[in-house]
Order: sequence, then C-alpha cells, then structure tokens
Amino acid sequence: MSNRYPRVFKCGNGKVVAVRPLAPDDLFPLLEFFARLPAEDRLHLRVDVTDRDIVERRMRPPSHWNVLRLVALCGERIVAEATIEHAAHGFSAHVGEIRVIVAPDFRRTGLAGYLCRQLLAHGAVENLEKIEVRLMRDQPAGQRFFEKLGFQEDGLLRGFVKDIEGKNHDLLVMSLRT
Amino acid sequence: MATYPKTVRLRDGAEVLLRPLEAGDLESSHRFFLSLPQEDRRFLRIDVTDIANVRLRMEPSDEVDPWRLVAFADGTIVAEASLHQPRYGWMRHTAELRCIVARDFQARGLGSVLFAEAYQEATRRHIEKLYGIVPSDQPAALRISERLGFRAELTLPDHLRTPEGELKDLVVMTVNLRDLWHRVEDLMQTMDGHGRERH
Repeated sequence: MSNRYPRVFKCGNGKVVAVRPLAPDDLFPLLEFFARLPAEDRLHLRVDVTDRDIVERRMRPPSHWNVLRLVALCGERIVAEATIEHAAHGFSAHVGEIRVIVAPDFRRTGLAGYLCRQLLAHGAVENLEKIEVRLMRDQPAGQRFFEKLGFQEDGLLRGFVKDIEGKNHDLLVMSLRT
Repeated sequence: MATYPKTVRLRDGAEVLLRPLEAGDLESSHRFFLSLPQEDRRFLRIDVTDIANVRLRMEPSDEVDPWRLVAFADGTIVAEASLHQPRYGWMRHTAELRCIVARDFQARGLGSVLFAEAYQEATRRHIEKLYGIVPSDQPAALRISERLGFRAELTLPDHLRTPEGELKDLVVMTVNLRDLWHRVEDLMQTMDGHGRERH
C-alpha cells in the first residue's frame, strides 16, 4: 500500500494536491482542516471534530480494525480526508465503510470522486465485497454523490444519530457491491 | 440502580446468580463459549473458541463503554447479556444489546431476566435507543426480539458471512427506550412469582 502513495491529483479548480495516508504528525493540520469547515458541515460529522482529544484518539484505530485514512494536501494544508475501514476479523470483515470530507473550496473539483476511487481500489485489494456509507438523511448532496458512484440506499434508521448540538437525525445507510 | 451480585429464580425454580463480568472470568467465559453448539457460535462476531479473542473483548476500549452481565448456575456461566454504547460521537445515545444463553437455559425465562437488567442499565445511562443485530434467517431470534418490543427497521444485505462462506442479510432491530417502558413493566409482572429477585 505504501508504495501507492503519495499520489498527485489535479483538481478541477486548477490546484494540485498530494494524496497520502494520514501520518501521526498530521494532528495539527487535521485539526485546522476540521476547524475551517463550515459549522453546518461539522454538524453532520459523526464526532465532534473540534475536540482535540477525540481527533487524536481516532488517529489510533483499535487493533482489530483495518483502517486507511487518506489526506489530500495542497501545500501544507489538508483540504480533504477520506477513510475506509473494516473489521480485521468476524462475520462482517468483508464489509468496509467509507467516509469523505472535503474543504468547501475543493468541492465540485473531482477530488472527492478521486479519493473515493482510491478507497474503493484499496477495498478491492483487501477483498472487501461490500462497501457501506452512512449519512444523516438531511445530506442530499452527499446522497447524490454516492448514488453517482453506484451506491444504493439500503434504508433508514430513524432518529439514530445525534448532531453535536444534540438534535436527532435519521441515519441513511447506502452500500455498493464490489 | 441494580446491585450485584443477585440471585434470581427462573420459571422452573432454578436459581442463577447475576453479576457483571470480571477480569477473573476469562477462563469461565471461554468455557461458556466453547460449550455453545457450533450452530449458536456461528453468528458471534469473533471466533470465541480462541481465548485470545475472549481476552480481547474483555479489555477496555477507547471507543465503546460496554456493560456485560453474566449469569452463573452452579458456578458455571450459562448466559451473557451486554450493552455496547459508544463513548462519543453521533450514536452516543444508542447501545447495541447482545445476549447469549446456553441451550440448557433457553426458554426458561433467563433471556427475559437479562433483558430487564439490560433495560435498567440502559435507563441509568440515559440511552434513547437500543438495537440488536439479528441474521435474517434466524426466525426464533427475530420473534423474541419482537416480543421484547423491538421492530425490524433496516435490513443490511449480505452483511454477514458464515464460517462456511455463505452471505446472509442482517436485520437491525430497534426500540425506543421510552416506548419500551410499558413492555418491560409487563415483563416484570409476568416474572413475579417466577423469575423475581429473591429477597
């Protein structure tokens, strides 16, 4: 895997980014990336990314999870983060989950799609047979994006996720057979 | 708040001791898993025949704050119920309920007793939603979950691989804790005189 990276991608906004796995000393650029996201976007994330302790903890995934976290850097600045993870063993070890977060000025530049293709290629190497994505129901842009990649809606869990302000939302589960 | 250990009497008069799982239970817990028929073990998340995995699941986690209750009969573990609540994040108000009962103790009311205990713990933790994950081809488990107030809310296609390599759907069964209150009260009443706590 390490020899696949870094990779270079030319975004639709004319900027060139370097894509590579997240490194242990990326904490501060990562925190800065999260801090610069619009508050509305942060609301939809699964954890409070303004909490340094949580961000730091998530940089050390548990040993029974296989995780690839990619970051896209424009110069020194992280402009996107994309993750694929799956259980190392157990009855759902063939199912991966992906997440992608892109800075507003790098959206609609092809970067999110590029990162997802990288994650799906990694999933293929890991012999994953199903890739899942979980979104709050009220993220229609995210839903459309994954539909274009071929993901289909599996269903909803009502009131299953809570944003950082404490409001409940429906959780939408989508998946793609590889 | 529940205090443990406590002894409960099942419908048929048998007594079991309930208490939280402790680090010293590693070998008893492993023996319990080994005693399960292959058919029951196949739907567990990890290979519990390997004591290293049993040890791993007993270790503290940064991600999940588990509660595990074990039932003993004559010094042997005969069941385990657990709640798995994320420590942080968008599902922090939910917990997954898991329950495994030895064949000899199934259909004797022990599952209901454990569920009532789990419910009390969930209430103490202010959990809003409980969920369980059941393979779609396990009608008995689906029926029991429904009797306890859960309803099938989402089917995850091909989400489970059996040891034989077959793919099966998983059903996510959910319940709102507030809606559950009356059902648990009913459950406790039906247990009175049968599965009630011994004083």
